[in-house]
Amino acid sequence: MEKVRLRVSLGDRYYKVLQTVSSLGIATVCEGALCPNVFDCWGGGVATFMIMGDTCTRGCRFCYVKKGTPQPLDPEEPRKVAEAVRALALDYVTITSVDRDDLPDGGAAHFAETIRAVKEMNEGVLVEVLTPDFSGDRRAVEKVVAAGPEVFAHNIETVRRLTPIARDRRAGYEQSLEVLRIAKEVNPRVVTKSSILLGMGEEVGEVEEAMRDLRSVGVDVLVLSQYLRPSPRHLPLRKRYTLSEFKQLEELGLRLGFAYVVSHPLARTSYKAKEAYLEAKKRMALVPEGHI
Amino acid sequence: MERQVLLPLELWPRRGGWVGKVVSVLKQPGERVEKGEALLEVEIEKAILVIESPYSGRVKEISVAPGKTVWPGTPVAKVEVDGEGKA
Repeated sequence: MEKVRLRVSLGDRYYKVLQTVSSLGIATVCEGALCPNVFDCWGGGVATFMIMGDTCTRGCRFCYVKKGTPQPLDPEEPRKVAEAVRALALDYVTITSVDRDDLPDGGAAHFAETIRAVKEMNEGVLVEVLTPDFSGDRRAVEKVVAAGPEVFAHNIETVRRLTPIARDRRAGYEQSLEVLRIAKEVNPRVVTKSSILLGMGEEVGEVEEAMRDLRSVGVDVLVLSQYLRPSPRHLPLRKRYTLSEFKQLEELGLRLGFAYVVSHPLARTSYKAKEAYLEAKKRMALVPEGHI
Repeated sequence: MERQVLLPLELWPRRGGWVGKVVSVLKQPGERVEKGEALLEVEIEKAILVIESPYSGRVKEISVAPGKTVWPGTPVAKVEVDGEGKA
């Protein structure tokens, strides 16, 4: 199957997002990861903020975000993100980050402070966070969840077998599941979410196993998307899934009990995030607690 | 007035280091082009980027050919823009 065609259409709203994040000095994962949805999202006035700098302490082999020694945290960043949310008039915001293994709490306190600042300055805003694994530190996860995000996302990224190949050696399949389990345990009302990138060499049975594992720790929303190799230095692309295969996996996910499944080649964790959250909440309200 | 068209610097603006290869040129010198119309296609590792003309006018020059390696800021064409007169 041929590569996806992206129309590079840079309109006024695209430039408004660019001007906002640039002037405030906030990084975005849209840029950092060469996200193929940047034209759609920025064109719609939406960006996914990436806090704690643009340099990650980990070296996952599928990811284009810069690796290396990060800069010290900017104590003004929570306020800046809150200002960006206000400037763009966002009613739903996704905040992610680089990994910060250099910080004692992995950046959990900074994450929590950012959530609080965004909510304080933007009444009624819904916040989704996509966090690192904090090396499995329970207190770090608690700190982030306690700040009150509506959605706590953490990605397992791939199936169990490919985890050591695709992700940094400090990441772990079980560790990521545990992070998601803790988040749900700390606050059963928080919507939990995780993404799997397809096309790195997994078998369908392994994808199903990963889905079951995510359900076993109470994950509510699943995102399935096509891995797109960002450069020849990254993990090779093994398979392009068809739209019908994405549809089949979406149906499987719903049968397994996810409240919502976003399954599309260009889906990313923050893709259609507000819709996924609202639909998941609707479905969760219909099912007694502990049954979904 | 003649305007140069660049591969936009605002593409993933603060994340450089990526390159692409021109895979097809969709307009030829002398042809009319409208603002927003596709001028050429550039393949990067993740996708094929369809690059639009930022101007309406007549294509004066196409500065790249299929197979050429390009990156943000690479001049790709010149357009004689409508209504701006000669420079």
